[in-house]
Amino acid sequence: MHDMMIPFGPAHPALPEPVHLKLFLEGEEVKDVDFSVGYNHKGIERTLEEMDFSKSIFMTGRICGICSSAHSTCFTQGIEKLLDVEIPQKAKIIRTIVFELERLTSHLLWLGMLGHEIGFDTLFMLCFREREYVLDSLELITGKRIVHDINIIGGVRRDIPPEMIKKVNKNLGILKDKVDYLQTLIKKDPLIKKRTVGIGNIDKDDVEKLCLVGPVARASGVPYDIRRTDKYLIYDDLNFKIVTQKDGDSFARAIVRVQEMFESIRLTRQALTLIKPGLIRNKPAMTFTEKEAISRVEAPRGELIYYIRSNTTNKPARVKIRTPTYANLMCLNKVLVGNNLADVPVSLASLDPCLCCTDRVTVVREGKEEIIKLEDLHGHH
Amino acid sequence: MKLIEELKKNGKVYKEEKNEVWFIIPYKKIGDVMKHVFDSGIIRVSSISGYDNGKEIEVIYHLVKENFLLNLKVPVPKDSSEIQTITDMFPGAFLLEKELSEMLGIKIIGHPKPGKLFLPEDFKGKPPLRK
Repeated sequence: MHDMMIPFGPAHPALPEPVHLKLFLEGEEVKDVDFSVGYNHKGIERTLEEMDFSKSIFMTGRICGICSSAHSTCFTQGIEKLLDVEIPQKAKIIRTIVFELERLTSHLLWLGMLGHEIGFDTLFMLCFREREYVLDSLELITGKRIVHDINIIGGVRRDIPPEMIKKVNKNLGILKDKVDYLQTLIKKDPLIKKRTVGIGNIDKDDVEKLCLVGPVARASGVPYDIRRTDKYLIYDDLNFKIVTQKDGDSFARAIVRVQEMFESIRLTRQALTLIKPGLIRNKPAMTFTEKEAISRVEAPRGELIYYIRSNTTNKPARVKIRTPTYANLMCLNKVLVGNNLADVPVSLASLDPCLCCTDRVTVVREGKEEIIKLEDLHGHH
Repeated sequence: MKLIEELKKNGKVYKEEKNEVWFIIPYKKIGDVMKHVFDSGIIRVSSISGYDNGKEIEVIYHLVKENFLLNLKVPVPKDSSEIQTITDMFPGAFLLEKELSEMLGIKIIGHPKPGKLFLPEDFKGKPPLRK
């Protein structure tokens, strides 16, 4: 038996999102972990079955505020597979740009949260200040700071004119220097090192066995990246490297994400140079048949995978979403066991969990299933 | 590929695309089939989808090796829905099987820790995604 069980959450100091952990302790050391999720049910998979394909893209964009365009790109890509439609090159470029800018906002937000966890609030402030350069660029391109909704079936919603390219490039130039400074800060600051080096280790074998994804996998030396394996959008034409680290601790995960920010800046700049005048949308005939498709993208937190099934109506018969945090939850045991209780928030935050994405499935009220209508959703935020 | 030949003995290919193969496998054979898959070096389960088509529950395993996607569709009868666990071979399927079990009412035989994932522990009623 363990000495003590500490309930951690659902509302707790590590994350603004709800997850409940049961930490079994002996003294200060965590010996076992049990977790429960589901506090954030939004009923999205079932809601999608009640919605037109053309509307449901915008619903998937609202699964999560930070990986909004990852979700909608993945879903749209799946629908385009079902319809057998090829999108124009320019639309692919614009999708890639928004996707990479979103990765930048996500990683900056994460770094800020890490700073906050270890009591280094200046880092939090710095990250959120620098994040504005990306949000400004996203607002310029899509018209929105978060939940960009740039994708529509067959292409994108808005074009990027030449004067916009200049402004975005300027923002990226400033941001690169800022991220450079953040990188130096992380590598040199003794406080960050003391709280993260050797904390929350996952080794390479566990990553492969537990099917972990994204920066968590890459920080343990597994170069698993859908941008490289699937070559979706225009990633095949762009030059980028997959950042990996060997140590698999919280520090390695921080380094991976910071260096990925440089890669994202490089990718966005390359993509901006490829923009040429042309179509941004091929309008497809929206006739669906009984078909199924699978679509994958590399979201900021790792592999995101959608299974979409259509029938002869214009609504999906089934959408199954497997989000990256869902996959990474499996490593909580490995990451937290053996640590001090005080290190739990940092280790947990170092995984960059996004529970909005994880909890989505079906709404159940008073033991009865309920199909949600759009009007209901408007009433319940 | 050797694995594909092996799987063709146990099931039927119903769709083939670039880097994707879709199989139908009888549910009684899933244990053997998964062993072949595991032995061939595919160790990543990316997702497990379930769909109630009215007559039966279709369980679809999405297994991944780099850019190759192997999809195994296993139709499970609705009245006695149960299926062998794959968590013993693929520990990454732990949560996916729990979700499949609670949402579509399929009993996972041999799951190391059966129970609810998203639904409350005391939830009683029809599995939410059954039609």
